[in-house]
Amino acid sequence: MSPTTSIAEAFRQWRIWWWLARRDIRSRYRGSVLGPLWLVATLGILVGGLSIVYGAVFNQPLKTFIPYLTTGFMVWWFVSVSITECCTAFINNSALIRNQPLPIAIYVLQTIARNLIILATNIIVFLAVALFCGLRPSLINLFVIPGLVLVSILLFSVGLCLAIICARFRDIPHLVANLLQVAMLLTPIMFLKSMLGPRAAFADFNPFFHIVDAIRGPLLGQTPSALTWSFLVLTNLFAAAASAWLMRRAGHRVAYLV
Amino acid sequence: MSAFLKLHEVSVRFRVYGVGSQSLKKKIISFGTGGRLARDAANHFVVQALDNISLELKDGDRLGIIGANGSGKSTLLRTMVGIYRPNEGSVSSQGRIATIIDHSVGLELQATGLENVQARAVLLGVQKADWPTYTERVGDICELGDYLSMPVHTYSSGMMMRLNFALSISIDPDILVLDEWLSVADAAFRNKAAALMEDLVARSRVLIIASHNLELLQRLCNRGIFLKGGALAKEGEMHSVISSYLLGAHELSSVTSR
Repeated sequence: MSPTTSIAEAFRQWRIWWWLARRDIRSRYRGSVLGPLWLVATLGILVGGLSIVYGAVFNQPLKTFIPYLTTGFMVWWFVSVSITECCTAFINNSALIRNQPLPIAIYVLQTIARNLIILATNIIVFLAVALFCGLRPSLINLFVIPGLVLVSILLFSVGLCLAIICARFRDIPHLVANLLQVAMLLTPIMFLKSMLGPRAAFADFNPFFHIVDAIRGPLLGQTPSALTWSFLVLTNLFAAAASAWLMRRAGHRVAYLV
Repeated sequence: MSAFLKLHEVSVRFRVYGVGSQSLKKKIISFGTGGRLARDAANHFVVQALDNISLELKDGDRLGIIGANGSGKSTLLRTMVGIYRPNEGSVSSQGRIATIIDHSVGLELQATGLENVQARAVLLGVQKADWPTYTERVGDICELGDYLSMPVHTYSSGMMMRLNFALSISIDPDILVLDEWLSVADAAFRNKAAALMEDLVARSRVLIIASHNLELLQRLCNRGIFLKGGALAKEGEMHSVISSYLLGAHELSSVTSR
């Protein structure tokens, strides 16, 4: 296997993708006064508006509903934006891919790292909300670490597969964006899983529910279910195998395709 | 440790997707570029970009590559550095490779000159401890002075070219792979650039340069190859390769003038 298609080599070059991710954030907010604080403002305004309206629609106490919405959207944005941006990770970096013999998986790692930085920035909103709503820190919060690690690695494997597939089939990014939009409305983010009542299976069989809940749950002081953990471990194994296979089979073609 | 780069019976073919219509196919074939076009079993276009190329370069070798547009020069460079994987044959090398195939790659217009220096340092794998030396060297070569702290989009095209050239020439590789692009420079800077290139040749142990500038090749290289339709048409001393290339060009022009 050549260095450009080696996944391990991409991880070893962490300096490059970490730097690229930070540069992306810097250049996105270049010349703006608030800078990355716009992320915080966007989430804050959205959650503020939604919790007033949907809190009334669903008849929910704001003290629990606001933190639920905040964490839900924070994590959903991390997941969905990571996935949509991974679709174009190779296409958008075609100039670099065709001119520098870097391991191509670094562009997927760059995408995930960039969205992790955004997630970390949004923690500010969560902390403010937690303080305002009187959330107490507990040891359960620490489960957010394995949750975040499992979800990030899963996003990397899935993102790498998508990046390769999308380099060849240019309809896929549009399809993925479409599906994610629908998925957001079907996943318990704006509503609670318990509201599904007898149809709770809609959440149990929804991969996005487990992905979101592995990070949201611990932040809210709830331990995610054993089903969520086993789902994440199994999909991680499957996705890692799939991405390694696809990289071996088609990774070397990416430079021709982009 | 001595540097080397070895190609053993290398062939590169790639599929081109999205070339559907018959008439377009005919147009492309009659366009008559040097590469060979065919269709494979799945009815995709296949370009035979490189055909059975063997080469061995070691310390002190300075190889000039000449050939018509589309004869496979850039493909050969990309294969040498590992961006393209050969379908047949093998490429092996020892030593740090630096490559500049498309000189416009890597300049971020909204960022300042100095930020671009840092970007290039990261991408070319310059160690962090060497960043100050690298930055200083770039500054000396491009002579942009205080402009380096201005955003690149305020530069004239000549200034951008200077910066780009300085960024590329300031690295210290074992093997340097270049696609020639000095012809875009004005006469004054071209002289300085050529002198710097000679300097660089003295520093790097293996130089590979593809160019249409025969004078420059004559000045820099001791070995040459002439590519025709992706295959080696001539190999040997630079001057003898140049004369057979000129002979071929002369034959071609006498055919068309008849």
